[in-house]
Amino acid sequence: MNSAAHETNCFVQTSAETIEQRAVSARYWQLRLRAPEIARRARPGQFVMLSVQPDALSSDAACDPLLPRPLALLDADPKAGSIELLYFVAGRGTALLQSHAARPGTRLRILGPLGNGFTVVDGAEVHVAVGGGSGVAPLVYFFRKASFGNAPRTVILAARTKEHLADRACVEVPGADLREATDDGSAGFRGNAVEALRALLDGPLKGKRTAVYAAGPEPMMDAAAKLSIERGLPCRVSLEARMACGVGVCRSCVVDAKTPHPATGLFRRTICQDGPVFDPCELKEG
Amino acid sequence: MPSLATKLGTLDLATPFLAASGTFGYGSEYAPIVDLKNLGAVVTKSLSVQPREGNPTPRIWETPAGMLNAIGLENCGLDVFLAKKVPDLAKLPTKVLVNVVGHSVQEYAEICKRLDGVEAVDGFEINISCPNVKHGTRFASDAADCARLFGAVRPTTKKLLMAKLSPNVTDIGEIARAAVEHGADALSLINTLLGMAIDVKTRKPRIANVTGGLSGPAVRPVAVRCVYQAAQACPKTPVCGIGGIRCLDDALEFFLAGACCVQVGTINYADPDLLNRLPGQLDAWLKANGHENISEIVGKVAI
Ligand SMILES: Cc1cc2nc3c(=O)[nH]c(=O)nc-3n(C[C@H](O)[C@H](O)[C@H](O)COP(=O)(O)OP(=O)(O)OC[C@H]3O[C@@H](n4cnc5c(N)ncnc54)[C@H](O)[C@@H]3O)c2cc1C
Ligand SMILES: Cc1cc2nc3c(=O)[nH]c(=O)nc-3n(C[C@H](O)[C@H](O)[C@H](O)COP(=O)(O)O)c2cc1C
Repeated sequence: MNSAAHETNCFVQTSAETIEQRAVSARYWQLRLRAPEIARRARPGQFVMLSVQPDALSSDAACDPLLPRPLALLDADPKAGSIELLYFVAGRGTALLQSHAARPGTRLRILGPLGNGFTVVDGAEVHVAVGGGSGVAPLVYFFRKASFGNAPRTVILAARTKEHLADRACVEVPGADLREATDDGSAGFRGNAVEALRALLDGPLKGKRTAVYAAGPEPMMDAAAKLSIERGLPCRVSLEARMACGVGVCRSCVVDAKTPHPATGLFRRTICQDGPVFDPCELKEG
Repeated sequence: MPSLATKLGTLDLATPFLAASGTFGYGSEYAPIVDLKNLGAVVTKSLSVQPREGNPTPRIWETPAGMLNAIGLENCGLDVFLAKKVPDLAKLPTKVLVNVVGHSVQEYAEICKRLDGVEAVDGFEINISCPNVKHGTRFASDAADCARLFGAVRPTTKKLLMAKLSPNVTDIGEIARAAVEHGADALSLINTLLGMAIDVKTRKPRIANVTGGLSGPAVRPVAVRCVYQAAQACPKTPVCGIGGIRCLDDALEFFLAGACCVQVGTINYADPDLLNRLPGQLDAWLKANGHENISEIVGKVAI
């Protein structure tokens, strides 16, 4: 087992208490939870498995839906003992979470922090985060906390319209150039995240050794990875899949890798434990 | 002072709570949060002679109070298991049962034979009941095949042999008897129920394998019924109950139906800490009900 995998073993299960939940756009909810043991251990790019209802599983109602939902961390404050999540309602589970978490003091079962986070690509002159949807949280946390030295940083956040972008205040990254992109051009660049990335790489960043970090909807990440690889630029992606355990045992969330796994010999990686952050060059396409 | 110790055939278990195959890895994955001394045993992910990459994704789909899975027995194979997993298993402060699968009688026998001398392994759970691979349940649905399998595996090892049965059969008692008469020391049940879900928008199956195994609280009544029938069919054989357990009352249901121990499966994903809480809760329950040992309630459903 490598050292990174060893670190991911330092997770806990606790009962997290809602401090505050607020709407930060027509789409996103920002949820702050008291979870000191998780806040202390968290690193950017990691996620938690959060139960979407407050009751113990011994109640029948709490068994449906049964599985916790994976959500990336937007921030962690070890001093205050709190963590933050940024999520949108995608279906039944997140809808339940949204209604339960609205009441401060609600307690939710939580497992985390899980997975290997983002690390800064060595030797890059410029660092660009490109994300949308569920990818906003891990990228913002990473760009806030990691030390990039003096290298310039840009964060591209994309959404369908201005209303769907998260409030700037909740995704602000000190020291980085925050750029928005919307499909309809109602805010920032008109076009999707990858078109915005391409414009940047062909424009101001032309010829620069740029590291690209992508997270969000799968087609967006695939396109961002493809573009980076075409340009010979290093890239990291934060992948998502349906998962049940979050710790590598259920083998639900696997992706195909080009090389055998050091611990299993299999050409599979779990997104939850081996990821969620990968170098796309190490994975098989499709 | 009630005792939580329980006997599974020749094995002395510290508690009647085990972790089910495929839901607890090789034990150490949950070591940061589960004190393994609370467990009677860890049952490892199914092991085959050759490594298996498993099924394509998506492999799971959540259903009302349960889930469908078709992982396809992804596992590292016997050689890697011996080299990389056994040293860690040897350090676990609990018993280890290795769950075994094979394409043929010979493959089951080979694994048991090669692990018979391995001290870290306390026994085998012979998985004849995986619904997610071709012919996965053949040995669990045909009494003659089941008898042939245990007849071939029994001579390879002195360690505990527990037959893991499938609920996807007409008469579970018949299969249970075939296993026991040909050398199984214990029975565990149930494995998952064969199921299927379809996305009506795309008209595609929800999981790539098309069908999958249903687990979780949704299957518990089926599991309790199967345990009851198997225990009736094989009254002298210890039975380990599995299926949808999420609290002490659920486990008690299995004990009353005839199980002397239980495995917690799907719920580990949602609440791995449950395995830490169950022994204390059982202890308190035994005290409150004037029992010394759970053997006093095994099979004592009032019918
Ligand atoms: C490591 C990881 C980190 C994540 N971080 C965030 C985050 O920071 N913010 C956020 O809003 N969401 C995040 N997600 C996605 C989030 O987990 C899903 O939106 C959520 O599980 C959907 O649950 P539901 O019951 O509301 O929807 P369901 O009813 O289960 O599904 C509704 C829709 O969501 C899709 N979906 C379901 N589960 C997932 C999943 N695991 N990944 C991607 N899509 C899914 C389904 O395909 C479907 O289209 C993350 C997922 C992973 C794996
Ligand atoms: C994702 C998943 C993987 C499983 N893998 C195995 C396996 O490899 N071998 C096996 O015998 N049973 C396997 N099972 C079945 C469980 O061990 C158990 O028999 C079943 O899930 C019923 O118990 P539960 O409702 O408590 O989960 C698996 C179950 C799930 C949900």
